[in-house]
Amino acid sequence: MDYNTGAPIYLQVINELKKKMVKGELKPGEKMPSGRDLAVEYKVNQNTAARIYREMELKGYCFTRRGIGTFVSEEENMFQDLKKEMASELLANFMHEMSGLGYRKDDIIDQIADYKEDGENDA
Amino acid sequence: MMLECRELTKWFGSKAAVADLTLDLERGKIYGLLGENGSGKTTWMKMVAGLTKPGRGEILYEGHPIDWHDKAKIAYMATEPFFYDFMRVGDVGEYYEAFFPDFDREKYGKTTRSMGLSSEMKVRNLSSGMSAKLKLAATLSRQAELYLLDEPLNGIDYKAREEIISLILEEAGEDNTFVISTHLLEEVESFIEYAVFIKDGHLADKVNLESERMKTGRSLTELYTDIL
Amino acid sequence: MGKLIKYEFRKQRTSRVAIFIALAVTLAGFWTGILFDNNEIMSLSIIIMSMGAVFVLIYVGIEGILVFNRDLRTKQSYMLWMLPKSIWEILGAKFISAFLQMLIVFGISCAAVGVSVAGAVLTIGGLADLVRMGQKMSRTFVEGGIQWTDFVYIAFGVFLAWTLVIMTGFLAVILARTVLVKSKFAGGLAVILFFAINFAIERIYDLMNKIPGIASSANFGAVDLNIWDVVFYIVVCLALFGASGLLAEKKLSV
Repeated sequence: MDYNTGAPIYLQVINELKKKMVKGELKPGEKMPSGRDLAVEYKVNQNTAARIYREMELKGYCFTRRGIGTFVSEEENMFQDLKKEMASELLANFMHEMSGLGYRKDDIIDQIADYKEDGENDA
Repeated sequence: MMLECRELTKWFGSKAAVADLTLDLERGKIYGLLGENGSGKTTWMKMVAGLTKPGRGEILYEGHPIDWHDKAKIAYMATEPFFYDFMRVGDVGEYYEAFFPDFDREKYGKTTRSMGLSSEMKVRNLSSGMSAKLKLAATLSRQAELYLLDEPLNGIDYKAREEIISLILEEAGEDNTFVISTHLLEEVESFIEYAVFIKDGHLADKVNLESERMKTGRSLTELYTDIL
Repeated sequence: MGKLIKYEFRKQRTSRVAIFIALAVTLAGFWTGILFDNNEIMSLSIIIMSMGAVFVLIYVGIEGILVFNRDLRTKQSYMLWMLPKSIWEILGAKFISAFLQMLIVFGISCAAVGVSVAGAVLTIGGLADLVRMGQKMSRTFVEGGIQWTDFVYIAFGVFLAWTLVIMTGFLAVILARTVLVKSKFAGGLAVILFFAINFAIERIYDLMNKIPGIASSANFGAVDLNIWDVVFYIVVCLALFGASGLLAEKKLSV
């Protein structure tokens, strides 16, 4: 995974894991990789891996069964909330940047309506 | 504290390769040892490994002055190839097994095979990349407490670098400590916990990278430029 | 210790093999000369063998020192210095493997030459000549007053002298590599130091012999070696070994 080298690594990994949950790559109740596997997969050290799970547990994204491992939370609501939360975070960032360029909300909505993704033009 | 270096100094002729270096290392951490060529990184490592004797100062391992018994718990890997000319890949495993109680022969076999090294290959005929991989396979197949890896990623192609970093991260845990010297900052940035900056033989700074990223948002490359 | 000796002994394998091949070639020449009744080939083989023996004697005698110097000159020294072994064990292993090398090279060479000479006598003169030669040799011993114990004394004397050479060499090499780290002149300095230490030991030996009663002590059998000489050389060897170990332990950087 490519990191933004100026931002804390553990937050970037948490974000990545949250995305996986929202996309369904990590399903409710599924066992998550061990700390060691997480470290190898994301090229982080063991202490960062432990911190990632600690923070995620605190937020309720996952839970740990002593001696067995860490599991994705089983609460369906949490996934819905997570999706909304990540979307509104992205949106807030986007709106902030756009207003920085001088756009007002109405202009932005028009722009979004006209926006064509790559490939759509060919159709 | 696992390792304590107190005012460590080593002269080569009239030049101090390491000068009044005071540095502590904790168990369960990965340290990046960073500095220009000739800043004293290799000399420091060789002193801890017992290959070079300090001119002044002391090294404590687990609280006692370091001696040859501690070499059973310290795995040092030099930059240059150092295996005997007459050895084959299999002989290297036999040698390590004979002298290091913490050596895992099975792991060595598995690792060398996955690197494309067969036990019949002669050490002196290996390419520099293969030779670098062999050193790492032997060193990382020990279950040491302290690993000192001098430029482990040098001369190794990109794909193999990733494999080697995986090997390191699989081995690293709360019971051991890694010190990795390197110039390839981007390769190690995500997993080293502390960056130890060495300049002209002394400690310029020791930085916890994650805290630094949170506080100032500086990347390792920026820190390197700022400190050295 | 055994494992260290194994790898030290392995380092001397190439020279061992080379010596045995040379021996086999000259012996083959010797036998060709005898079987085909060609005196030139036979005598040429004997000359080469005799000259080779002198060279091999010197080379194998100091090979332990040369191997040690080569170890310290290259990164291969890490192979020994990274091991959880004390310096005494490392130096001890080097000494023992050097001794084993001598024993094996000279043992096999002497046996091969002895068998060849006996075989030659048998081929040329028949069994009677061989028996006569054996009798003549044992008579020489008896008439010359040479006793079997003398061989033990001689072997012991040679062993002591050789040990002294090796220990002096070890100290010279360590001293040179400690003073001149990473320099290509260290090998040359080691040679100079070797002779300097030898010279110093000779002077101390002379001084010892000025003490009344020591020089006139009785020799062991026919060997020019008295009890004080033996004590002196043993003490000197131990002192050299101790100095080498301490210096390597405290100061030597590889």
